[in-house]
Amino acid sequence: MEIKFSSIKVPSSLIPHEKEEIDQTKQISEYIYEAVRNSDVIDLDIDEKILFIYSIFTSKLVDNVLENSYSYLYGLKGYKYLSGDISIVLSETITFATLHTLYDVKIENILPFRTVKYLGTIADALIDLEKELKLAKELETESGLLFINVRAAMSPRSYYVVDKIWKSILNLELVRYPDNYGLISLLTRDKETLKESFIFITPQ
Amino acid sequence: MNCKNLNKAIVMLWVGDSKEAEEDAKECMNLLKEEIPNLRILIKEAKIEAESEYLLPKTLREKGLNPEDLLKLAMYELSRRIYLFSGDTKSKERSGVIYLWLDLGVKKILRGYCEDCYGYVSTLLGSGFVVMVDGVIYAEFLGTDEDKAVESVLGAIKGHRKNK
Repeated sequence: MEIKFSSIKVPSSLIPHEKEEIDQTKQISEYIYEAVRNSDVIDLDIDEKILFIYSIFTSKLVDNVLENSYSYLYGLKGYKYLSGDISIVLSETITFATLHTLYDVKIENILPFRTVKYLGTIADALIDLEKELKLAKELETESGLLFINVRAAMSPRSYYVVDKIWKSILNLELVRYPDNYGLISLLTRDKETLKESFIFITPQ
Repeated sequence: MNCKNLNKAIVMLWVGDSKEAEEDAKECMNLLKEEIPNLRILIKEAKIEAESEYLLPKTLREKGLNPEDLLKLAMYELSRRIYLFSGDTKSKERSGVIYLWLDLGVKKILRGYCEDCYGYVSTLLGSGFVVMVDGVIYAEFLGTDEDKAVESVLGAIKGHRKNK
């Protein structure tokens, strides 16, 4: 299946953490949203068969991700409601499939935590960069932990997407700050295709 | 990082080998359980102390809670879920491949794991397909029996095994 892909890097120094700073996390989320919308897009071909494999790491007991992805891809919504469970499972699956396709990330190096997110102090998944050289190279490092937050926004309303980016930053910073790496993986619908956006947060 | 078998436990659950998953999860819980109560107390305190949500990361660090500590709590909780909800073992084994056979009538699904497999295989079979990534296998068939399905999966991954 062919999807659109783009990525940007956000230095963590832009994100406020200190009492002396004003909380501008929301405004920064708006800038990130604009940057994602305007960043260069590439076509990414994902072997749809691997989506079945990455269902290992999804947080909800939902199968048939491939069939569901095509309903979104072809815009076959009709008179029905979009399902949040399906869109998040789809986003989780495509996140890991993208990491495999672009960065050769190995299954044994992925730890999913979305099922214990109620703790309030953990992201959705973790990859140890020391074991994933290609991904580490993308982030210009050799070590560190990459905490991933997975999001899906199938509605085109911008405030809705900004809100998701904002919540992701707050969530990621809890575990990432100050020295580790963050990734907000955002799946959206872009006309007749799915668009996967990687927003990397790098320590600085 | 502790609990290096936690990822394996998740894969084992997916192929229906609950016993193996439970053992790995139990090991992780035992490794971490002594530290967990104190971590929970510190996190609770930090949440009360932080005046605003954006200040919580720094407050957590000031309390001595680093990312590794938060990770320990998450790994403990995850292994606890695996341990509690793993259910019955439904997997089988053949030629070093642990697999789960799901007969849905019109469609049959095989999920598998092979310790000595590596790389990536993706191929169409006569009446279905098989895909293998880093030892994890998924295959679908229309109208075949379990024995033939396992045979064709073994055939498809043959070139990607260390112990030939």
